[in-house]
Amino acid sequence: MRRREVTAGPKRPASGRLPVGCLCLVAGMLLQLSPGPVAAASKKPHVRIDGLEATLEHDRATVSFRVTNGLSENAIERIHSGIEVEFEHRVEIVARRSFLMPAERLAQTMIRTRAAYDSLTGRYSLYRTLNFRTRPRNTVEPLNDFLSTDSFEEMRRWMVELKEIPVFDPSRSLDGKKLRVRVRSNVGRRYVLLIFPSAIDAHAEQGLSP
Amino acid sequence: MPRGRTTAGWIVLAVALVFAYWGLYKLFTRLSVKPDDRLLLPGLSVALAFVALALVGVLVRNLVRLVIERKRGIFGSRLRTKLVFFLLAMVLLPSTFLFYGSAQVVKQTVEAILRTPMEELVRQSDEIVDQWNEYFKGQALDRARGLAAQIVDEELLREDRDDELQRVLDRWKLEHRLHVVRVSFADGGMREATDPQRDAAARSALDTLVATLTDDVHRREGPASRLDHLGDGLLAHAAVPVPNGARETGGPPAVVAVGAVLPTPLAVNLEGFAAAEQTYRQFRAQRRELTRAYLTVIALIYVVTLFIATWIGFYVSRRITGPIQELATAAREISAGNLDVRVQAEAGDELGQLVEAFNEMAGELQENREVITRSTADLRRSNRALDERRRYIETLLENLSTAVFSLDSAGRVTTVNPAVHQILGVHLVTGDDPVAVFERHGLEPLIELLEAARKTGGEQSRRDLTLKVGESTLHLAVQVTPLHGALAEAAGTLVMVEDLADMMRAQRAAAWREVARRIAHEIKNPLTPIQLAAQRLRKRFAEGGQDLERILPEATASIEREVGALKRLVDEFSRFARMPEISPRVIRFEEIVESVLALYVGSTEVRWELDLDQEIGDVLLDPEQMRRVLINLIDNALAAMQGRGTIHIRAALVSGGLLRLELADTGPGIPPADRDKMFIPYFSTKRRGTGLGLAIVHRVVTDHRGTIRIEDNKPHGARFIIEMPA
Repeated sequence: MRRREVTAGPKRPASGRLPVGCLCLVAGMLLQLSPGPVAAASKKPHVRIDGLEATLEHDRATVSFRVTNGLSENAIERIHSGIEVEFEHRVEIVARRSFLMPAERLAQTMIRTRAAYDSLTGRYSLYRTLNFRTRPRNTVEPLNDFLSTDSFEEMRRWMVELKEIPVFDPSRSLDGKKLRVRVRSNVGRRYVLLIFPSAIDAHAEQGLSP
Repeated sequence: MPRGRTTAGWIVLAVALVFAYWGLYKLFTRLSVKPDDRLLLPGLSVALAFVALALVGVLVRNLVRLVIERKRGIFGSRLRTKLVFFLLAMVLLPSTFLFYGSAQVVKQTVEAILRTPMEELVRQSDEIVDQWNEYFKGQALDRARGLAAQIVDEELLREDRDDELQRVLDRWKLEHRLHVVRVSFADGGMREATDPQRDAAARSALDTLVATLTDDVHRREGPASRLDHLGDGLLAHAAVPVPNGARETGGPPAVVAVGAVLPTPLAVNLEGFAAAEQTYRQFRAQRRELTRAYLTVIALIYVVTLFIATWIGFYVSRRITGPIQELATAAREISAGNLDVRVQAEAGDELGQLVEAFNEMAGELQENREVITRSTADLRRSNRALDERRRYIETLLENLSTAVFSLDSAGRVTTVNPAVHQILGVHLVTGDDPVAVFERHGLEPLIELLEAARKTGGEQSRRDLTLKVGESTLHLAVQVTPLHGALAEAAGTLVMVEDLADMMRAQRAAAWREVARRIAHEIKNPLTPIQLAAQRLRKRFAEGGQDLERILPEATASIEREVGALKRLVDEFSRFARMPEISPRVIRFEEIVESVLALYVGSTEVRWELDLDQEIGDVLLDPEQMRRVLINLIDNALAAMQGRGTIHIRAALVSGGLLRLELADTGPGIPPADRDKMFIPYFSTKRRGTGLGLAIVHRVVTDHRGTIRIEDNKPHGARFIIEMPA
């Protein structure tokens, strides 16, 4: 005997399945809202480290480099609006070890360059702080520097061009070590999908020989 | 987890979230967070992201779990899915539209603020500030150049003219309302207009600014002018190198620096302009951050809304499906036989009523089951009693000398006892068709009886049958009783067949004894007169023959008369003994009756009533024998009525195709005690009767496979009823 199933409603419950059209509409609206920062970031010039030069004399290393496209339109706008803008540059001297071991960090210098603009006087107040750190713990007192100028170009160089930055502790012996210098510059921050912060940075690395 | 603990957990979580939000708000307010803070804002943003992701994660987890439960067919998951997705769908679209609309409004608002005329206003104010800036710097520069020119012209840098230089500087300070008038030499020395009102702190700040400007001149090797903050005011100052102003050949020239503090209202206005412009520029620079922050808040509200909608869906569905699930579980328990189960779900709405009704139903089921249990026990006892009774009846049937079998409504044998085989000589078993069995064994009269009973289905019928089966003759009394069910529907037939052979043998023996007695009596009666006549003749003859002539004729006449009576007696006996076999033929029954009545009507004073059914028509009978039957019955009635009264003859077809003939008289009737003997030969209640008339009637009727019986006639008299197949 055949059984006949009788259902009062539709064969499949309407709930549990949102109409595809509604979901597409919702997804489209969310997508339209969310990728703004990503799209804007993708149009911006690529930030990179150029002109990385490192010298090692008498166990003292000096590093020079510039951050191309580091001073973005947005950063300039922020500076000229009176907001203090700070870039962070980290220079490291590392010694290579065996294949599986990570490189040993021998010294690090953290350079913070900061610019503040006074729209009334038309002058830039430029600050630079260098924090040295070597292993083992023998942190050197930070070096602070200040410059006041009305030159935009001078401000730009101050922020993204760093020359002869001292990085190394001269008391440390470097005999037989394969040294490399690593530079990473953080020149701003952006947000991905509204809430995820992401650094605008660039990095470079090259060998260091006496 | 108990529902109460879950609810309490949610409440605690909600309170914690509210406090966390309040704490973050206070933290922001207290810390005056700067937009470029490297830790706090990203930290908060990440925390926000984690909260949002946690909410989304919980949301997705619940939805996935719901889908899995639905796939597995867990009870209540379908309803939960419906409710959750219904609420989600109900909230998703409005929330998305709200989110989208709010975001667009925020974006448009921010962009609208940045559009002209605000942008133009800011640009113009910027230009005004720049123009004033240039104006004051230019003015200071002109004065510095003028002073330098005077110093060159009047050779005031010579060491012998220091006093004159001091007077000129003081004069320039007063004449041009300057706040700084200074000549700096390359060796670090300087001359400056006297300013007794300036305190040490102000002088130090001023010295720093002027020194910085002087350094610029040296660095640029040309004039320099600046606008600097000095305390609460603005200092417009300029410095120029003094041409040929070196005190030693080839050395750096002296530098003339002049400066004036701007009037306070003007400075305030300029600072106000600059501050407003800066505020706007900061707003413009942070417009993306601002938009992002607003969007983040709206997104969080969006996620929270969806989360709350989903949670409400889960909560409501759990509130609904919980009692239903308990009901389903309890229903399964009940179906498994556990009627003690009750649902304890707490619900004050229709579900509560449903639970209450379910519990009442379970209670009633339990009570009913107890009743049924008791009834079953009673029924079992009744069945046992019935079984015992059935076995008793079966035993009775087994041992009964009467053949008994019953048929169902389809005519199949349902019960049969061994006497059936003993009496009828047939093997009937349950399920047999008795008609077929009886046909094979030549018991057609029984089939006719069964057919008649089946057709009529009414009253009980009884027939005496004499059947010739093979070489033997069966004398049977057959009683067919229709069986009825509880609703009076036909349920079958009960047939009882009694073997009359023994009884007939006994009756025959008794009849013959009676016949012998009566013959002896009848013979003895004439013998006495004959003996007396013979003794009288011998005596008279021995006495000499006196009166012999007179006595002889009397004696011989008496002897002849008595011998004649004996002879008649013997003739009648011989005639009864020589009754021929019946030879039936088709004849109209009406003719038989009318031919008999023609012998009597008009010759007696009897009133005749004839009632013949016109449907009788032709019948299969022996007409001569049937005339004899009618004549004997009428003679008997006339004798009983002594020639006066009413004789009522009625004939009709009755159930079963039987011809029923009734003859009633208005005589004195027949006592019930004599009725069984009336058909025995030579039994008569009449003084001169032979007792063979009704015996002949009975013989003819039984030869026609019919029955005859005597009943009382109302109001008086006797009624003879003959039933025979027509």
